[in-house]
Amino acid sequence: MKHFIQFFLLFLGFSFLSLPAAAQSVQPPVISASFNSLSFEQFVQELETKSGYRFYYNPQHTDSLSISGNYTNKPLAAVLEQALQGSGLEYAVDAETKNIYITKGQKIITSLPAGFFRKEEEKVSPQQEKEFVVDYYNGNGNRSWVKKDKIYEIGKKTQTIVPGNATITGQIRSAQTGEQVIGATVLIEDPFTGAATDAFGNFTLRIPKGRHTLKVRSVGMVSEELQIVLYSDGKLDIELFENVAQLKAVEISADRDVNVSQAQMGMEKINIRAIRQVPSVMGEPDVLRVVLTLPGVKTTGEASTGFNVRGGSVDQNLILFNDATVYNPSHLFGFFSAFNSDLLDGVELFKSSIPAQYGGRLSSVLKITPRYGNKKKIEGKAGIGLLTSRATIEGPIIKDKTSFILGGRTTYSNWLLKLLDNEEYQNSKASFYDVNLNLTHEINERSNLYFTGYFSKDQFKLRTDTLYGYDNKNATLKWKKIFSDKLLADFTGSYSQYSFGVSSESNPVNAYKLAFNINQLNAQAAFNYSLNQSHTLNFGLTSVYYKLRPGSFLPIGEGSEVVPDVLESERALESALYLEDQYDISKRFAVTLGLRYSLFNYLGPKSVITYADGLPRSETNMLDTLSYGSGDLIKTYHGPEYRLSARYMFTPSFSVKGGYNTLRQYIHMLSNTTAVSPTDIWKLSDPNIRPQFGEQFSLGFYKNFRNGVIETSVEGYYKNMQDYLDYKGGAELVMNHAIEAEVINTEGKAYGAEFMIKKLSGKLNGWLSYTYSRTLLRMDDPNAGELINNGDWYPANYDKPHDFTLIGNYKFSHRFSVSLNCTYSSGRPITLPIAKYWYAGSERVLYAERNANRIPDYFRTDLAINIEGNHYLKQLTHNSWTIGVYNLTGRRNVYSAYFIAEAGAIKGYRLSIFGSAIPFINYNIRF
Amino acid sequence: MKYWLKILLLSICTACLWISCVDPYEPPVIAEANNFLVIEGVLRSGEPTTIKLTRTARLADTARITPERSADVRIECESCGLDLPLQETADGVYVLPPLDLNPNDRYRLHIKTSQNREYLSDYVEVKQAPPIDSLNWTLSSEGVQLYVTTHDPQNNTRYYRWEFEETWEFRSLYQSTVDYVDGQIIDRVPPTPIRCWQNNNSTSLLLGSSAKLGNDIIYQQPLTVVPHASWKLSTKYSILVKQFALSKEAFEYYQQMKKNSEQMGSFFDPQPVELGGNIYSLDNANEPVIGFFSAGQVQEKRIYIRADEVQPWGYRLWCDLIEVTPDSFNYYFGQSGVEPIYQDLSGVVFGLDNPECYDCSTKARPVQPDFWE
Repeated sequence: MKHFIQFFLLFLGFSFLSLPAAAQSVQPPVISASFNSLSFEQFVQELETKSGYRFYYNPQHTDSLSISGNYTNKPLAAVLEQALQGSGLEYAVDAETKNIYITKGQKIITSLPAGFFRKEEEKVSPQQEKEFVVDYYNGNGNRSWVKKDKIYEIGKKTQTIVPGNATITGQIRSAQTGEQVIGATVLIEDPFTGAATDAFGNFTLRIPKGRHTLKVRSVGMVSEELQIVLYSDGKLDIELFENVAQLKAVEISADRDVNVSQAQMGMEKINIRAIRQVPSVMGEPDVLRVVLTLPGVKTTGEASTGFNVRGGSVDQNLILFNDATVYNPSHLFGFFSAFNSDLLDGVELFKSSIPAQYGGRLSSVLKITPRYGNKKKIEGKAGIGLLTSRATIEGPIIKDKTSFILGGRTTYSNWLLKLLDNEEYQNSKASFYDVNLNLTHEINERSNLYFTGYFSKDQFKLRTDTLYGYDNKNATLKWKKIFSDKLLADFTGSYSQYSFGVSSESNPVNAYKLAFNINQLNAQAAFNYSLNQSHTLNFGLTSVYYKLRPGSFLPIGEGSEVVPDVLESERALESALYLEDQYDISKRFAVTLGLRYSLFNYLGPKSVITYADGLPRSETNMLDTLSYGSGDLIKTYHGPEYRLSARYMFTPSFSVKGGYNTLRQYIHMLSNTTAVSPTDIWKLSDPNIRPQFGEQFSLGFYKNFRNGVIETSVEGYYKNMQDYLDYKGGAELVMNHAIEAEVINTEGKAYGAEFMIKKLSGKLNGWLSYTYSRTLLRMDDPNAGELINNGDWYPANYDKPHDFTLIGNYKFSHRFSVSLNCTYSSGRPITLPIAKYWYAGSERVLYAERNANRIPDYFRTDLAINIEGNHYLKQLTHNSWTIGVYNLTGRRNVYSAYFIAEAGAIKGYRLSIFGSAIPFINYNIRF
Repeated sequence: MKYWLKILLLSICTACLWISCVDPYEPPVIAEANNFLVIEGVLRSGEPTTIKLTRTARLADTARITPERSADVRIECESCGLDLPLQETADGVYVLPPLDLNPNDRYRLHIKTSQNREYLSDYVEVKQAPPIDSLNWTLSSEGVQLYVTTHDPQNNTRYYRWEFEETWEFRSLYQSTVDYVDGQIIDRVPPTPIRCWQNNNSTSLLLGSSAKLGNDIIYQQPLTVVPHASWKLSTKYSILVKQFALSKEAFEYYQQMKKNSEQMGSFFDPQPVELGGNIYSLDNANEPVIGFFSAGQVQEKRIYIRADEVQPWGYRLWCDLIEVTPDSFNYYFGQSGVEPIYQDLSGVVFGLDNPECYDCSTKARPVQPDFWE
């Protein structure tokens, strides 16, 4: 190849071009030296004296380096190669000018690419153009480093090659699963030209014709080097093997320094491998448990549905499973998350800068990305645990084109409860299962179809004869299309349903069935347009149609005297248009300017009660009931939402970011329990219930050390929430025909600072975070009548000021690793009685101020050992074990403290959900 | 590695699984001085009315709840112009002799404490409770479950509250007719009592509603359980159930009171909150006053359950007679705490060491209630 370039260059006569290949006459010197823990500066001085070359570098990139090594008669390049290995630094030797450039990330190209002046050269000397013979067999034998002897011929094969550039297009896929590899790089080093694959694994690379070594790299894949001969424009599809021995892991993000360089803030991305390593209850890998370890994410307690982000309530999180809304992300009182980890690719949590694409909830967006099936061969996976088991099967439907993955999970705790020697538990039942089906089809290389279907069901019956059940149903169809290199689009249609029911049949006269459900149809078009180097635009529109059946109360059996009562359905359309510009003003300064305009229409048919203005909404102040027909617009709310963030990079490893976000929420959950329960109802905004509005200011500092191996960050935020819904004391929220009379508007404020240190790679990895945060609420409804805590600020149920988390993983070998999880947080607020009194034959307690006290602090340590079977690629099954202990110290963390009258006397108790250390074991098998 | 893996597996298999647990809780001391008035009682039609006045106490206080003495308690009616004072018959217990209430009138409670603080209730309607249809019971592995069934043909009552009084007879297996005094066996006069009665009042708020039903029917509303093998059913058991009709507001008030003090401790506890009753302080509108005043006719019904109806019951009193010859009288009856029961013709005395076996008054009162059948 060198010959060819030499020939080419000589032929062109551009002798002033100092191509390294052309500079063979000016060979860099050989070096003999011994370095012992030299600083980079000392190292450079030494080399400058020995070689006569001059170094150019940025001291900020190199100040943490320490260089050791012995070299005898080594070429300068080899010395540099070895010294800079693993530092993330690149070197470029310009032999012509005797300069060496050390750069971070990108290598300086000391020459113009071959063919740079092609146009002129063709004009200048068309008659001189000459065909030459390709002798790619020449020298092949003595290139022992070539892994594969195969030479790929691209384009229309000719005996001779006309000099000039040609384009290679192709797709990169995983050799094992057929999955398209996104963000892989394809490059040749001589001249240095590269390209990255797009969302479908496609790449386009324009390079000079002729013989090249094409290097293909991607995170988590074995790098490939292909010998190619490029004759003319052509296609080359490449398959990469996954890096099998990847126990590596707590990898929050695949890209180093991305936390510093991305304009977005308050975003956490966790892949499934990291999730698997965090110890969880019963050893079942759990997405939500891991999300709970992130700074700014809290929960009321172990048995609680959902989570709270930066002081927001549970219903203020938008949980998306492949863009379909999930209303209840928990199984079994919140002990397990509703997502089967075997069918997930990873999660992303946006808690500060929420992309303009998303809206409708005030606090956060949790995006759960599904995994798609293997396009090459049938594969299966099974996991067996003490409480749950799961199985997955995946494979191609049409090889390399269409694949499926089907997974299911169930629990046998019902059976377990029966084994316990306790009558109360024997009469209890608790069970769940979930099923996922994901399909993907490649229409062509620029257009893909994805389908995900999800169904989950929970049932429980504790102590009483009342049976509770809830289920989630979701389906999404997504079409991804690349219109051009610049324009990418996603068209998504999805359906979500959440329903719960309560039934009791023990008393034939009172036998009833209560049901609630929420249906949601969602359509969206999202576009991504790369206008130019400094502007990337995201725009699109989304529309959600809601239909709620807020309650039906029906008799069961012939003897039931229950009067059927069905609340009127609620319907609404929530639409939004958005535009977001990611604008890189300079290399250091980048802003994201987003605007989302949301519109909410409350639709008929429905009867709406009107209340006298300026008076408490109550039965006595009802004025009229207005009836609206089908499709009538009953009420419209609309408004802009701003999503602004900015980043200034002081150095490549240090940046400051700021953000301002506003959000609107049109659907509310009403809960009158301290911990959110699965049977809490949802309510749409209507003429009497205004949408919630929230704004957040945030500021963060990000600094990376050791080339991004260690990431540190501090983020602070201040949040305002308006028209958050609380309820009147003793309100009956279920089956209420005038629920607006039971709710009170509340305002909230939350502020906090989150500190985090992460180490992403190496034998020891993990993160350490500390959060100080407060969440305060205040009833500010002038028409509410009696106010909670007299209208003063009071802490929310999930207000836990101090929160400390350590997640660590130490990899002893590729097959053996140990994970540790430590959590400390302040106890949550509770309402304690202030007095006791005697009434109706018993002592009773009198409560006053809400949330004036706290339960004891929470501390828990979990330990897990992950053991992988052998790593032979070709064997029938791959096995792994996870063994561990949840709550290692056995501390009885208090979930709730309560007072109860027993035989006439008041007694105080504390309830711990996990009252001792809980060992677990999980066996996973893959075939 | 395989070895310790096996050990681990074994230890895990033996470990228990569903582990939630409950420990006693000592709350932080709340210093706030709390001394609110608590008013309990129903204005009964045709029966004596009892209103109890007490004060709240701090949680840490171990003393019994203090009564509110020497208050001026009156019943006033809206249109009849009556103003009837109640007499304090015991500390904090104020009684009004039977009064026939006018179902078309409304009544209220008016209290003036000895500290000259005044409290006034809303006017309340006279609620007539329908008669109790039946009290019945079923036998399960837990014991005897008692139910109340009632209905209002006018579909008017809808909200109910019940109280009950349990009474049960307890019999000692033996009667001691002799005593050991000064080294002599003499006749015991009178002999030890062997029939005694004990009683117990309901301690929880029993509420029921038919608001969601087509007809005003309460069918088999659970009242209480007599736990299996309990001494309450060693001989005969009786329960008197009182049925009150409530207004919707009173029902909601009591339901919240019940939630706050009786229904905590689950995974999803309700947020504790106090509801205001219908009695207010005239001096300070913000002062909490506990209790709900209501008026009306109360219905009562009593049933009996005999021990032989619930066999096998499992209650067992172990009474093994000890045969004592005269030379051992001093050892057994003088020093060992064995009581002589009877003497046979040969002079041998049979004794018992468990007092319950020969003297029921150690556990209950040897006085037969008037109503006992």
